[in-house]
Amino acid sequence: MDRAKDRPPLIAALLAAQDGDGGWGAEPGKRSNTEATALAVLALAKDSNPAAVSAQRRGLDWLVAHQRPDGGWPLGTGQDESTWPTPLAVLAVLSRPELRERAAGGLRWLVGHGGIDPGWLIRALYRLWPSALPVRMDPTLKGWSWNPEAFSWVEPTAYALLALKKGRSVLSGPDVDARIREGESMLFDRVCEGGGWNYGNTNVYGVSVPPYPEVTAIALVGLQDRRDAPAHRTSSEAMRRMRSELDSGFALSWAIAYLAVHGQDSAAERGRLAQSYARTGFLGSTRTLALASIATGAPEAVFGL
Amino acid sequence: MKVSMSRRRFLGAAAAVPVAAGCSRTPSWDRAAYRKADRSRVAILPARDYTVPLADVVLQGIRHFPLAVAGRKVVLKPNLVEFDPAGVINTHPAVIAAAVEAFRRLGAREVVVAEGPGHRRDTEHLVAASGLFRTLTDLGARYIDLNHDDVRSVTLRSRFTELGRLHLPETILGADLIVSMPKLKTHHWAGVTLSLKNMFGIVPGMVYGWPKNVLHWAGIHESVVDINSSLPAPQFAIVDGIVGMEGNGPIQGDPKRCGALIFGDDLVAVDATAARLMSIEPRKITYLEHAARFLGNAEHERIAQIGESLESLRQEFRVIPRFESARGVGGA
Repeated sequence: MDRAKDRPPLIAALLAAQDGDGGWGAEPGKRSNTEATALAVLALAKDSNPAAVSAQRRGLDWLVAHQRPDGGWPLGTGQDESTWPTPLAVLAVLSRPELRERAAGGLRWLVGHGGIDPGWLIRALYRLWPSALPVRMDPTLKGWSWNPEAFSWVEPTAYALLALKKGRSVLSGPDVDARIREGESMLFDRVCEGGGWNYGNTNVYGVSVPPYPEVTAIALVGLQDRRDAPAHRTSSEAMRRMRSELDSGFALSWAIAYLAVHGQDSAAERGRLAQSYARTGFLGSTRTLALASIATGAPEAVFGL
Repeated sequence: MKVSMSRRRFLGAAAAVPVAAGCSRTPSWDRAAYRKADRSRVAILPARDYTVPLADVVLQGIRHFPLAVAGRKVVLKPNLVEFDPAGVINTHPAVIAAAVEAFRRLGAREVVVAEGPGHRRDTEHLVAASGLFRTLTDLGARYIDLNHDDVRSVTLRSRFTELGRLHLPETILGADLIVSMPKLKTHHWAGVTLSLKNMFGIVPGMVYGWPKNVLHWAGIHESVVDINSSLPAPQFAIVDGIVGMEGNGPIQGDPKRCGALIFGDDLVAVDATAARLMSIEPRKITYLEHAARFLGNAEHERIAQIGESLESLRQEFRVIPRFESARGVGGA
């Protein structure tokens, strides 16, 4: 993808997709949600075009208006519970000095929340008789969940780690460090055989479950400062093997972000990202449009530590 | 946040497609709202492979039932889970295309294809790699990602789980006819996955995650029943049994040729028939046993068979050891 040639149409489509309330929905015309709005704000952050500046300002206003009293963000308009897109909203407001307190509120929510606890019985079973469990994982490690009433999974954990690490300038301390360490441990525990991650199961009833490239890229972005860890090395190698499989805007955008924050070339992926957009239009996904706009701009600035 | 859970609930929560979590509450439903017909009808039509004129077969199958289609919005819900170029995981695009064409021929106002894959958030990859994107583009039909659709909270009409309410996609809530289009497959947690289990895919990942973990914690069999009891529109089923999957389904099993499409407007009867086609006793599948209490007919003597006979197409589908006791068909 040629930045000068291919990025302007993505930005134009992103601007056209903005809802009347200043947010972005999963697709144009759908109700605004936190994930798409946060990613769109990040995509427009470095754009000096007046229309983009105005759209970004309205997007930030939407995020500010929808932050909940507990500091977290809901899924979107009409939802009243803080949940998994909170770290993406934190990343979006972090860049604005006047919104540091907003970011700090979101980070505090992340420190205080996570996937639910398995309870004493499972803890005991895992320690005494792990083969009795059908899945191979340490259920006592707590990352972050998609839903407040659910278990910890890879993608929301990677987003939370990224936000907590990028947000150290506004919230730091032993509790933040401890939460980051536990989240990292959870990701390391969920590495697939041979490296990489899927949604979060490595083995079910003795059968290995393969990794997905898009989730592997997201997890590696969240772990970009842990290149010393064996899991990072094996998963980077798995990512190298899976690069040829990348064919969607979502996967290619995250792969480009992963390569950018690790200082690697992504020319081939950029070319395929343009082909993907031409072929499918990303199925109308505003989230993917925003991610592709970030990927063709300065992903290292948006997602790098 | 501290929530304790039992071992069985954890097994359910941790697995992508978990075992039944079970439910301590007594199942309940509004007995006045559900009246099973004395008899249901299921059509089994032969289709040798995916190259035959499937739209004609599907049209013939639909016409066996008094479906109101003209002027209606029809939502086709296929089974799209993962993509494996060597596998038979998903409802074949040719069957989906045939259904689009058939419902259009019957005068539907709009026919859309909608699914919310349960493992993989990268829908663009699944839809493009599986060939469905090209198929739908050629037909000028829309694909709707139910995982990212606008949602509305609805009260569940039965209480096999303790969920009480679920967020469901507006596309499903706004449909005039919902057509479940599963693949004929065995399932390592549920025994079989057919038209009722296929409706797990309407539950939005944006709210419940990948995997749809909250449903797993609530109990897979119980969730299947509560979702299906609460669908707002009339339902129909078209099962892709041309090539099914046996063994360690729904993803890592092996292809099993069966050469049939199965149709019906009682999803319990369709699934019971499809299970018998796989030589699996439907009453030994927990969610079918639950559903047969009020949603439809599973007893063989209450199902009128149309088209090919069950016996002529029945196959022995392998299952994983924990479902060996479900093999064999009584009363068929």
